[in-house]
Amino acid sequence: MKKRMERIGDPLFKPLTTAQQKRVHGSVTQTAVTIFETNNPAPDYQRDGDNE
Amino acid sequence: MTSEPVFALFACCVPVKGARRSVVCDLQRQSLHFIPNGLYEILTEHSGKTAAEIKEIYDHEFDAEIDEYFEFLLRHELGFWCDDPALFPMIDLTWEAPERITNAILDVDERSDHDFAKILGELDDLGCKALEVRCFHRSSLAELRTILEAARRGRLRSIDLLAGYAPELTPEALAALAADHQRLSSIVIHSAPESRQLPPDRRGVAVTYRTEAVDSPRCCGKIHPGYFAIDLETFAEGQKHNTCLNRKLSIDARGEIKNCPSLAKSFGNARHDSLHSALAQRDFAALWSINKDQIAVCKDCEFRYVCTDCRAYLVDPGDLYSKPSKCTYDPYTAEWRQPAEERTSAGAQREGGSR
Repeated sequence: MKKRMERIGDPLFKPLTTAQQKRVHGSVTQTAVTIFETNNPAPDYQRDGDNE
Repeated sequence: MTSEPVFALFACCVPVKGARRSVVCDLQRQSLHFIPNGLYEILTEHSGKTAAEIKEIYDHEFDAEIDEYFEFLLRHELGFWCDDPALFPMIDLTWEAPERITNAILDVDERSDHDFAKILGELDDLGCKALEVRCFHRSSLAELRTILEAARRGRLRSIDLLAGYAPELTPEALAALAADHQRLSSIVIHSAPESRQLPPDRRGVAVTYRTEAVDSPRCCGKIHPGYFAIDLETFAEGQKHNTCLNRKLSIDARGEIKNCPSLAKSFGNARHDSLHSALAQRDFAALWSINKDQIAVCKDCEFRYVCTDCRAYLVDPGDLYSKPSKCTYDPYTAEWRQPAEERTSAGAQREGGSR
């Protein structure tokens, strides 16, 4: 049976809006690792919490 | 090897089929791209075929659509044309973690009598790397400092702090707290007089004030796109494990050791039982392996490997394999039903969800 191939421009395939994805954390995520990766391109690994 | 190029997705871009539509999860850029199920079919069943071969399979009825599909994939940098796709194997989605417990929730209210040093020490022994502390009551700065001081040493990588508003919890005081306790990843103050989000500090720690009251574990369990974790670790873990409860340990406000504070089953009390002994009980890990492919409705949802799930609040409380009751998404129509609270207040709300 042939399947229907929908147009990729259909509203069904539009990206989630910012409002739909809005959450408290915004640009940061839950773990320290990703915070370093996303918010600090040059993390100071000597001050990672274990070497205070 | 073929003479015509074939399309290959980047290894970090993984398609997931849903009932009405599919997604490509870009696990490196942490983003989702919706695609038609027809394109999912092309990327999976017809993987390794040239564009001409694919068009032939569909009797040239959808040539324009297929061209659009490949343009879309290239535009969003989800894949590339290559001569030998065998040189680009799929990413390994095996999930392993050396820690016996990877994440924990510690609930606190005005009647709590926790021995924070004991709890944090035992969590550290278990290898716990992420902790969410949820203070349901009006919290003093001194109390927050007492909790955080118990976590100063050890292997915790991240602490998410939720606390009830008190006038002394000013942005300046919380910024000082975050500077003094560098494991803090986020601070959310609930029951505040007004909602506001302060810009992240140098380390990326966000301080947020919310007017909503988070006064019990019942505020947890919401399913919302804002909570999706589109990363390799969650995606791989979600293949065979529960994305909320796997390797999680919770201590409720009364000290009861549980999988989740919202679940009834207790495995002991942290005042007189060790977390190790609770973990050693045979049933403790029973919920860890309930994955989304086993859950009704969720198994047909395109978000199933990036969703945080909830096993405490279910559509059918008698069926551990039923859909989370606080999920408003219908994968069969691809529509979100807007919850009543969001119809009256703009924006999504984080109310004590973990992970």
